[in-house]
Amino acid sequence: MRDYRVITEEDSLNYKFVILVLLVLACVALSVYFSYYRSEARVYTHVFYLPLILAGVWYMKKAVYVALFLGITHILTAVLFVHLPIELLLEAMVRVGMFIAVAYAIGLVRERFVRAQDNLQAAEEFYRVIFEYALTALCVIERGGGISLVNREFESLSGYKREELQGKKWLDFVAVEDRKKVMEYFKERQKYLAPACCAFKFRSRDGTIKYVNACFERIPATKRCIASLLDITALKEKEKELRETCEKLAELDKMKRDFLNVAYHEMRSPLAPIVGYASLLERLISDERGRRYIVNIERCAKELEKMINRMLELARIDGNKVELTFCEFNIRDVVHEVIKSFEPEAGDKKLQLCSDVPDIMIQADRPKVIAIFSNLISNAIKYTPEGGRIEVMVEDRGKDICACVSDTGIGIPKEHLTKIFERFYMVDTSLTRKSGSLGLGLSIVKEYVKLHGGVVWATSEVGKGSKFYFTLPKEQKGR
Amino acid sequence: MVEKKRILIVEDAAYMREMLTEMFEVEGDRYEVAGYAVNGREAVEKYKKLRPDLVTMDLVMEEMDGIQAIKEIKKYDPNARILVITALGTPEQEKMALEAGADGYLWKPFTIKNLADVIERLLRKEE
Repeated sequence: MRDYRVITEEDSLNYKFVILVLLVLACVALSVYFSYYRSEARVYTHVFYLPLILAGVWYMKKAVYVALFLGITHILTAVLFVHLPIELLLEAMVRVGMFIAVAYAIGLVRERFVRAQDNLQAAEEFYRVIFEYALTALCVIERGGGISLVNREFESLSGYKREELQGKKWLDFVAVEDRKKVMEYFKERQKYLAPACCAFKFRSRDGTIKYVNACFERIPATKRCIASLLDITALKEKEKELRETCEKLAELDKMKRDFLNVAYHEMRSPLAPIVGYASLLERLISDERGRRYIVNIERCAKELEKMINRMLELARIDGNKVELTFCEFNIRDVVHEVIKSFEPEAGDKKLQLCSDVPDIMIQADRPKVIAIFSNLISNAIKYTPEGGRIEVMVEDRGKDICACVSDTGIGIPKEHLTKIFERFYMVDTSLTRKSGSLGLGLSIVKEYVKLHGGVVWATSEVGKGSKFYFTLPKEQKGR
Repeated sequence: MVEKKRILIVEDAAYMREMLTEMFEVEGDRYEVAGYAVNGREAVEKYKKLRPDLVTMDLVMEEMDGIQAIKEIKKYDPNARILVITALGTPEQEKMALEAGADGYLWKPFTIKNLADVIERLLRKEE
């Protein structure tokens, strides 16, 4: 079974302790021997430093205990067997003090040294663990291009065990067709002229090609370099899939646009004789009732033509075929012109149609601005019950103007407010909906406003009315 | 009495040819239909044969389209007057027709008044 332990602890060896005890006992024996048989309390004390040094090296500050023990033994034997005069006794005590000081100093130095070594080892271990268990494949590349150190993830990416990687060059893992590219990149990177990351094809042991994103970084003060490789094969595949879907969609979209373009024109063709013959009939028939019929035919044909035109215009916008032609004009004139054209329609429904617009000169595409107002007012008329009120207001905001078309109509539920400007979106698709609307007017408004660099939005309260706002920059810079 | 303007109608749909004829008949004191063509190639041939004062030209036709026919007629006779009558109504297409040499552009559908106005304007420009 694999040993997953990262840090192993060595058991402390007991022979040091045994040696130390033996030495200490030898010192005590010496002490007793010299003082008892030779009545001397001094000549042998240098020997005491040997166990003290060893204790300091092996047990660090604990050496003080050994020093204390030896010191006490020294004084006791001197007192018991030699009967020293008081001055010499004091001298012995000073010696004992020296023992303790020396033991303490050695212990202290040794402890510092050991701690530093431990820290270094711990730090090394810390980084080794990070390296080994990182989720990206890591390898150290030597100066000649050989691989010297790898982590687990690199093993699984390459398919080699680390023992087998001896003598392998890192370039062996780059797919043949990418080698030149990668070498050139590497040259650039060494001069820090290339970004840290580079993508290439990675060839693993069994020959499978994986896409990797690699990052190379020189290890400071060495000629080695560390490479981290991220397997992005799955991402690449997804990307390819998405790209294909995208291309397919674009193709379908183009087919749809082309089809609609032809369809709209084909729909217009039969309208020509309807409108044309109606106008001929109008000259022919003097009968009151007959003329009323013709007016109805003409009105319906006009309605149909308007719908086709809107769809055609949206198709053109989608194909980026609509361009703006700018001229300078007074917004007030435009609003008055539009309102005038809607007066008969508003009159039929007994709607009050009024405006509050100051004189403001703006640079914009005049027909498109007229279309924006027309669409909004036409909508307002459509959705406002008899006796209601429609108001057009324009506010000068300095760099742009903000226009508002408000009505006292049926209103729009909150959840629909942001979607009403979307293509083909209809608030009501039921059989009880208000007929005569495809919901294209507002998307044309949105596109025209967007082309001018403005924004459009709406607020509404169901049952009370709606307010449609849009902004238009006064000047068209850089166009 | 003013001389009647002779008109060549180029149009692939029979109902449109018929209707245009009717319209010119209503305005009979000023216009007369000199002939018909159903595609661009025939239009060029008929133009050379009939030398009309005005050509009404459809754009979408078999064999030779309207744009090509306009170019060939203008090459043959730079003074030819050609009015495009089409359902293709985008500004790009109008520009293309005018660049080919068309003198006017009428978008289907249209009323007799629209037609008369455009022709009036076009012929007046000539003088």
